[in-house]
Amino acid sequence: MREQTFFKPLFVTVSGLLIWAAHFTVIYAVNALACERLWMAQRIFGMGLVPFLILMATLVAAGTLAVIGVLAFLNRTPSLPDAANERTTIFLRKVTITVLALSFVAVIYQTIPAFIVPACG
Amino acid sequence: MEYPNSLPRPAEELEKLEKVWEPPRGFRMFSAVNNNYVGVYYVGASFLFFILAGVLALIVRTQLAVPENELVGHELYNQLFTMHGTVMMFLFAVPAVEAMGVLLLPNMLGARDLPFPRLSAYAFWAYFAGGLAFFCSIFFGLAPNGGWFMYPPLTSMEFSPGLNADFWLLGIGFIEISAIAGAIEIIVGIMKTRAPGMSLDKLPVYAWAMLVFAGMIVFGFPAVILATALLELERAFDWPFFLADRGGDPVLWQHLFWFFGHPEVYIIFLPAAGMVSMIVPAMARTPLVAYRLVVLALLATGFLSFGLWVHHMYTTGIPPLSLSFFSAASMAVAIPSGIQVFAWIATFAAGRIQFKVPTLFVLGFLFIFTLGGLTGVMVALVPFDWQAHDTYFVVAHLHYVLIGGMVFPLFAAFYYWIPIVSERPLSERLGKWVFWLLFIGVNVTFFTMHITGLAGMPRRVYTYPENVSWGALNMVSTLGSYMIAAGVLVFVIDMFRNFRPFTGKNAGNVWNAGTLEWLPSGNYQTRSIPHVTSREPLWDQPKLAHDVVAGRYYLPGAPTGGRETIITSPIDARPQYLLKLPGSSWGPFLGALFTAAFFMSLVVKLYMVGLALGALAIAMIIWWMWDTDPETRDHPIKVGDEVELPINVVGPASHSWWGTVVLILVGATLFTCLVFSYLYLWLVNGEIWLPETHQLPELVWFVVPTALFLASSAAVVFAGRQASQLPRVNPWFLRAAVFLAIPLMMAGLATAIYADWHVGLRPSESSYGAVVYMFSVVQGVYVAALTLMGLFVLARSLTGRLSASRRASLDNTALLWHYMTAQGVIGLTLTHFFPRLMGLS
Ligand code: HEM
Ligand SMILES: [Cu+2]
Repeated sequence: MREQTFFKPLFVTVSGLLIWAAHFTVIYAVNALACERLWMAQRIFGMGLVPFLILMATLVAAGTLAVIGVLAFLNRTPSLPDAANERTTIFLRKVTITVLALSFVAVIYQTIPAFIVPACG
Repeated sequence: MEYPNSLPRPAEELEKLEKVWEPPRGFRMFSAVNNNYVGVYYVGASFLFFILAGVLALIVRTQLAVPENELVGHELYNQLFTMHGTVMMFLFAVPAVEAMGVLLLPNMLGARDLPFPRLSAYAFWAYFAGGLAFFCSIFFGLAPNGGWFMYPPLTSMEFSPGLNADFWLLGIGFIEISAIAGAIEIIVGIMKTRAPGMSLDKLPVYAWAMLVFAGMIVFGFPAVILATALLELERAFDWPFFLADRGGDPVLWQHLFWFFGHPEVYIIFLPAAGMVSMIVPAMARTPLVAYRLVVLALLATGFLSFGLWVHHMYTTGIPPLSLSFFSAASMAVAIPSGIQVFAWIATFAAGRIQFKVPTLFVLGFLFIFTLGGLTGVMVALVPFDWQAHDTYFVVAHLHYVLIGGMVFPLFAAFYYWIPIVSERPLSERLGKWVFWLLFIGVNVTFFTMHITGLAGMPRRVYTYPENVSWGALNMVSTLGSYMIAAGVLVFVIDMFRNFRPFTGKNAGNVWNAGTLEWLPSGNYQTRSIPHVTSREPLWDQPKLAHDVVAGRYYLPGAPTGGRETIITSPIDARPQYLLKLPGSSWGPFLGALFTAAFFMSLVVKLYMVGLALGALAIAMIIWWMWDTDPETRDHPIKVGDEVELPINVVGPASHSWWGTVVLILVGATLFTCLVFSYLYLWLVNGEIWLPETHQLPELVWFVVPTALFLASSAAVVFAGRQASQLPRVNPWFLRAAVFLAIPLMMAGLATAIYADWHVGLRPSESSYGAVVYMFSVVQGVYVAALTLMGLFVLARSLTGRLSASRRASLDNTALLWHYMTAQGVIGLTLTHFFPRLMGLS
């Protein structure tokens, strides 16, 4: 049966939001750990540990979002078999791209405070 | 296009279809399982709870009308506002939107019913009976009084020794069951029972909203289920999850509660938004503008809202940067909400509006909800929140959001959709009265509360002194709330005058809307299941209604002689197989009553009675499970002249496989929350979390239970392999394997528990002990369930109901079994290696 063709397109369609969620979890955990275990004072490359790690996480997340976005743009994300489904494939692709774009904004949005707000009060 | 069936249809075909779907009459109404009936009961019950909770609110408001009022004392007051909030949130709002889904989705998707009708019926009756019992606790002074979010330590044994808090835990036990059952039903229904041709890009927006809604329940509710289980264990057996002196942490409750609680707000709002997205195009007589962006908005809201939970905890001492993440996410989630609002406004602008009652309620919704959103942005800002926290400003904000975001759309939906279930539509004239009374009443009541809050009045106080000048404001709010009550009363009168369900007739497409729920229908839904080529098929396929009624489309009769619907593929909606649906049955009704009675006896600590009732409830469920997974016919069934479909398929295409997968997702989320709790307690209470003197069990105690769990899974795999070779192999191999798997799994659990016990770990001594044993508690639930399921599979095999092509019971048991093993091994790995890794022991 054709169910296998379901999970991949679904996964790709919401991939932006999954990446957002992963990024959110990581930076929240990093900050919680740093504050509870008092690691926040350490510095890396002249940057506080917390902002540094958050920046790294953001680069990874934003990079992945961009790569999937380009693939979707070039029609390289999974499509449905047979021509009858072309409209559905195009629809899913467009949703994928807008989801990626919104997730990109959300990820960047979440990173900015790391450079403005002190990590642990 | 080509029609699947030729005309004329044989004369007896329609007769047979009607007979098969004949609704139960008289007393047997309780045994109805099809969505036309259960949906109406369900919506009705949730509305009843709205009225009951509203009455409590009126008492609260009357008490607050004048300073130093002596109407109700503080003890009763606490119970009143707690019950009001709890009943509104758990027994009205979530069930109401879920109920609308049960009622509308099959119609809208062109299905004869949702895939698990008995599950819907069970979920409904459990909720109704349990909810009423819970509500009655207020008449005995036993209602909970810790506020709707029940923060410990206020609700811990020390400060709430009576049964009151236990009633809360009971009360939401029901909504947990029924919400999750409903979510499974809705997800599988939307993915698998759509009309042929209704690919994802043609899915009605309401169905998208319900899909996201159900997904959010799957990932949100487990957190609160775990939280209530932890609090229950703490209260009943003194396991210190939230007691700081033994390494627990009350803030853990807040995390778990709000991880569910914030998404809950969107769980309530998204279905309402989905309804609005159906009503607006119909009332504006033009397709929804920016369909794709609205779908994006629904998906994004579903995800982003999980990143907001801490904005309810700004004042708990969380590090400022962490608060900023949540503040940023709170702003980000405003983007998708904004997209939807603009899409509705643009649709209104693009079309010609019919100014009917549903339109008024949508406009009222836009106004009130937007105001609530604005104050939401205000309280999402940390410094402002510190000022407004726990004042009437927050009460004002939350009611603007909830009433604007959910109650107004629901009333719009009532006026809009009642013609499909009632012989007569509701009255336009009375409806306008309802609208204006509600709209003015809500604004008078709650706008004033913003000011009361800024003037410093805290929430949850039963009275206030004369000299603080809050008196006039409160009087205004109280008068407004009576206006709301008057509006609801007019609505009830309208219902009595015009609502005529279950007559076998309906008022039809009174708004000239474009989606499938407006097709002419009977208890069997549509005469034949249409082939859909656009998003508004009734607008774009003008002959559709006529052809559907004539029986030109799929499945014009009842070819198997029973109820059935077409299962389609999840993305492009191609017909896959014919699903046989059950008819009326007493199992769900009785099973639900026993379940409700079971919970009640636990609360009042009649454990033996509870055990008996629980066994009866399980018996009922087994009774109805027994005739699922029917015999597969060798020859496929004709649903069109040239279209034949098999009955019942094996593996990932089957609806029961989907149901099991969703259930596993629920379990996996709950387990993740438990892992989070474990790590969280370590993080915040590291020093006293694991007592220094404590010895971890030797590693052999990790190896033995792991090996046992794996062995039990291996036995189940073997059974599956054997089953696919039936009847060429001896069925006793399969039976022996299933039979052996059960004790293996039990031994795995027993050795895991013994390992902790023999090194002297006790669950009530420290939060570490409590949380480690909690892994076994959770595992134990699966062991118990799988034991029953294993025996069920055996029974089916012994009675000849298991074969290579008829094996859903075995396959679904196996799926859950492997999940249990995976969860057990992960839990053991964590509890054995994490402390070692951290050098704790
Ligand atoms: C229909 C008219 C309504 C009125 C007049 C009303 C009135 C009130 C009042 C006065 C309070 C504050 C009690 C206090 O803090 O002492 C309150 C709390 C609350 N209301 Fe309502 N309400 C209404 C509708 C709703 C609806 C529709 C919902 C949800 C869907 C809701 C959910 C809540 C919640 C969650 C609380 C907080 C309870 C707590 O503090 O534990 N209310 N309501
Ligand atoms: Cu929130």
